[in-house]
Amino acid sequence: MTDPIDEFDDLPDDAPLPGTDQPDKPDPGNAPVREDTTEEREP
Amino acid sequence: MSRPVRLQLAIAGRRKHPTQQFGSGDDEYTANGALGCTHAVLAWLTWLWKRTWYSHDQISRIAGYPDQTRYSWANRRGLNTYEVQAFCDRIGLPYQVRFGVSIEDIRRFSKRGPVGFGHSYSHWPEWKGYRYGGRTSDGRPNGFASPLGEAGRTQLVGFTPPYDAHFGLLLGVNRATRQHFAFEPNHNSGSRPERPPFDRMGARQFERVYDSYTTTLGRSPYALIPVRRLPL
Repeated sequence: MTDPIDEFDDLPDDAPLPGTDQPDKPDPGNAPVREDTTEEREP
Repeated sequence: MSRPVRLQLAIAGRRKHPTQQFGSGDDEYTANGALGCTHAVLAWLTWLWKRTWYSHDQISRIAGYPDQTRYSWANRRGLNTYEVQAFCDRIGLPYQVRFGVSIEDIRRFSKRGPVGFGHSYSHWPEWKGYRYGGRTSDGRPNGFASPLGEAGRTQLVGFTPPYDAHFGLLLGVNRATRQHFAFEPNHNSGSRPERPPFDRMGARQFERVYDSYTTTLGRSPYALIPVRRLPL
């Protein structure tokens, strides 16, 4: 079996982008990081 | 060469500027960085490619991301994927948001330049020996990051699934050692002041991190892929 880590040199400049385009609704992205209250300055 | 040259550039860049999501200044839109993991990754990527710094607030305005301090904590969020793409397009950062990218392609395309990706914070390897919130890191569920005791996840409580969607950056892979070099920006806060430039982890550890966006959070794999090679 070919090791994918050893195939890096085979990536041509014009290689098509992997995966798919964005869906109709965006992914919501990252969540808030909450920890000690000293960092949370409410407006 | 076992370390791709662009990985070496990225490592040097992270060492020169070990920026994190907290403590950057001009970060009102992200509630002083609490919502700014994706902002922090974009800011550093923009410096790497264009030698220009944008603050969280500047990125927000360019991306069309609303000031989150207008909202209650329960309704605050980070950059969504449309806003990430809008920022890249508007400043000419050569990246595309893609979904469903395989782990093999994440590695392959990291040879062009760093690759961003969504994940569950819970699966990032921990900082060995770190104490936070009454807990000491125990390496569960995904081991420790290297260098041991100098890198890795430090928020051991309070940022957990299903509310811990996070954004990281694969800087590249050392093919000889199979070590994956990655940037995780949840650092430099008041209670966790460290600023590790990057974390190292093994291939299997990285797979668990990347898979966690789907297996733990139930989302489709989300990645930010360079469309061309980082200039040398």
